[in-house]
Amino acid sequence: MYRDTMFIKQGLCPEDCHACVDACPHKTSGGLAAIKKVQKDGKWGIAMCNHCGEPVCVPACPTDALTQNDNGIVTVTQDLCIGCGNCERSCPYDGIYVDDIAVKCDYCGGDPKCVAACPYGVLRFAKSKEIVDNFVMEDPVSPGLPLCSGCTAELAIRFVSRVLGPKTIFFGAPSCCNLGGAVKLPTYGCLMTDVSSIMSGVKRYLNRTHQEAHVVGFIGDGTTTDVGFQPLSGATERGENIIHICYDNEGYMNTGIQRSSSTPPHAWTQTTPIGPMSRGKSRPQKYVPLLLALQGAAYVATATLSHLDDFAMKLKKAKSIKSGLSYIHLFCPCPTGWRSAEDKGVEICRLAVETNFFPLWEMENEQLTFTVEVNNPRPLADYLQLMRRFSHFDQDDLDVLQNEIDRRLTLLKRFVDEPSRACL
Amino acid sequence: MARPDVIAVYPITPQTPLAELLSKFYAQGQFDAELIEVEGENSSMGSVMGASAAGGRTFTATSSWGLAFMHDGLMFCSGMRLPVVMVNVTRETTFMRGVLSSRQDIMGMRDTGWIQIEAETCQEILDSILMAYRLAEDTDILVPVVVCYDGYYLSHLSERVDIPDQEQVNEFFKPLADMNRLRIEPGTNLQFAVSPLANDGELVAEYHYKHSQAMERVKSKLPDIEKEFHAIFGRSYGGLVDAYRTDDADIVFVTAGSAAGTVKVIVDEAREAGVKVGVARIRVFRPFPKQELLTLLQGKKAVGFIERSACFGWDCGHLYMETSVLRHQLPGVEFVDFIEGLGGMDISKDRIRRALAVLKDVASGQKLESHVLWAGIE
Repeated sequence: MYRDTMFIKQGLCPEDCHACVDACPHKTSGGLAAIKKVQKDGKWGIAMCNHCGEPVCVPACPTDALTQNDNGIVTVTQDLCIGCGNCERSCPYDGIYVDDIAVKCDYCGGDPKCVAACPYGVLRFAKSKEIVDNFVMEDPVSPGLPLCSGCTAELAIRFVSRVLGPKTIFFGAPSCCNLGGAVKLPTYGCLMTDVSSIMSGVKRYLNRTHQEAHVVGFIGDGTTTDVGFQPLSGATERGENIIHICYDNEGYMNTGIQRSSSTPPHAWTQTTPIGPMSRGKSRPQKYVPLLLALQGAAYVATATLSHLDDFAMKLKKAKSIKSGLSYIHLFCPCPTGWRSAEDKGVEICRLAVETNFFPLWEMENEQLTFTVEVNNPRPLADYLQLMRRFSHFDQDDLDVLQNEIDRRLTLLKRFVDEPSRACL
Repeated sequence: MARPDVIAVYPITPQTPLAELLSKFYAQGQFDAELIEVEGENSSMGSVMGASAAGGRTFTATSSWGLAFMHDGLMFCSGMRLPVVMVNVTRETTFMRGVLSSRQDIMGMRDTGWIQIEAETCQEILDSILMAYRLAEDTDILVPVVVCYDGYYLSHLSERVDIPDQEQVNEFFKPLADMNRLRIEPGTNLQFAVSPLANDGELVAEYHYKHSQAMERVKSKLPDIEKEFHAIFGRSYGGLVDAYRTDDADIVFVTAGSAAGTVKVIVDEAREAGVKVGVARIRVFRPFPKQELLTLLQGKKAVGFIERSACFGWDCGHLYMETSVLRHQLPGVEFVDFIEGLGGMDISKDRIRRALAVLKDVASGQKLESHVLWAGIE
């Protein structure tokens, strides 16, 4: 059963745009569109059927004209509809209405026309097949992990372990997410300096003895970009067949919020505090995914939790690599270290993508492609305001960060147009 | 011959011929192992740890700064009780980027919890590596072993050796066939990991105690292993201490490594002249052969330590410093420390003759201004 979902960025529609409405097949076939523009708090957004998990319109219909199929899509059987309007009155989302008979969205059979028609990227149709097909239903990670309330690395490890499956051995370093004992899979806690070399040794021996398993490191940015970078680069160069997932919370959080080379410029940390002598971290963010891509890793990708289908697809690719190193750089907000609200983790991920702070791309066969297109990036301020680690930012600080984002994007786009060569 | 599964290779003088030859043998198909050409010695130790934890037999080799670079891994490896066998070609660790011979590097790993064996001859290197696997993989021990030999004196000079047959080695390794230990395996639920219990002091004490006792068991196991070795290969080395003409000696030299060969020559020369002198070569430095030395040095008039390292903070050499623990049980035995072979300085026959002259004076009651004599400083 696949439950595909329409992501809608409410409040971004220009008042005079009706591209989605005009593209809706219900309208183009002579009726009324199943999608509507609605105004709320002075801003324009979208109303359409949500294909709820437990749709109230279905039991509300007196003639059983509304049914939900195995993929969660609710449709109207026109012959049974008497136009009573019970569905319209019961829907909390303004997603169904009566014009002679009930009119509602049916996802155009799986390829919604409104998505392609929207010039502003308001609509995104996420297919769950990628996740559902690859998701082991039992969470092998135990409940009650000693991680902070709102920790997105916890969401990540639970998701990762369920997509990677039971033939996995996890490796960790001293860090926030050092599983040690809390997962129903073999794990090996390494030092920060030897994760990638230990993983290499294990995988080589497993191969030699014809034992199949994914050798996977779930490693923070401190180890990945700093103290463990040399062995990671070495393992990449040797083509060790291991998977390295860096959960990047942009600092040494386990030891209490200190800067790493992955901390963004001018961000506050305990070792880059704000004062007359300092505007936070003074150096740019070391962008390890591109470094390893240029070095000739077999597969490199960036991913985050607001785009789980994209993430699942990338994990699946990493799993399928039989030769060479796979690297996934995961953007993982840390409420404790970033001074953000515990319930805003996924939203921060989404904004990071939509402001181009964290572009989503992958590189395989020496070709780099963006896996999520951001046509109209949101202003950086929308992202920064969610975290108090940037609360000291003035225009100069903003310019520095914006320049870094622009520079990075330009560089990435160059690699899209001119395919990167392995081992420059 | 020992059939390791995974070997990590990274070059450092004076170990490099070893790394190159291993690579050559591999390229020629002379052995079947995974060769990992790592990017640094920290990864040499990491990769053999990983392979060992997964159940494989492993090998690597290093020296000096390479040994220092894997220092965290050394402690981690022994703490995890992994049966790794490593070679260290001994070399200076000094602020000057010298590559010269000494025992300074291996003294830096004294507290890493490894079994340390030092060879006098090329034959002994080969034989000790075979014995090392028997020690490391013994389920009553399960402590990693480093076989050390002098840079240049043994690494870069050639000597004829007797290379055993594979059948002989297989015979010697028979007790290792049923090795049953914990390993990282897919489909299990084994955690080689940081446990909340790792912060439980009593549990840590228990781990350290067991580790310590395992090292002590080398003292009883090695003589038996040597007996077996002798029965199969026709050679043995005396266990923890190689004692040469010490029984009736008045003066005993204590040393380690290839310098013992030179000392034995002078011992024979002096014996010809009627001087009752012998030499005790410490073969196993960790665990330290306290009892063997105590028994051997009992009642001697003078003991001369021929050192190839300096123990900072104790203003003496390491062999003198560690044996001094036994002083209160050796009444009347005079100790003199000869810090000879630093920075690759040759420990020549003349140097030993000079040391013997000092020891003869001390043995006959003369007082010395200092009991620690640094070669090159007088």
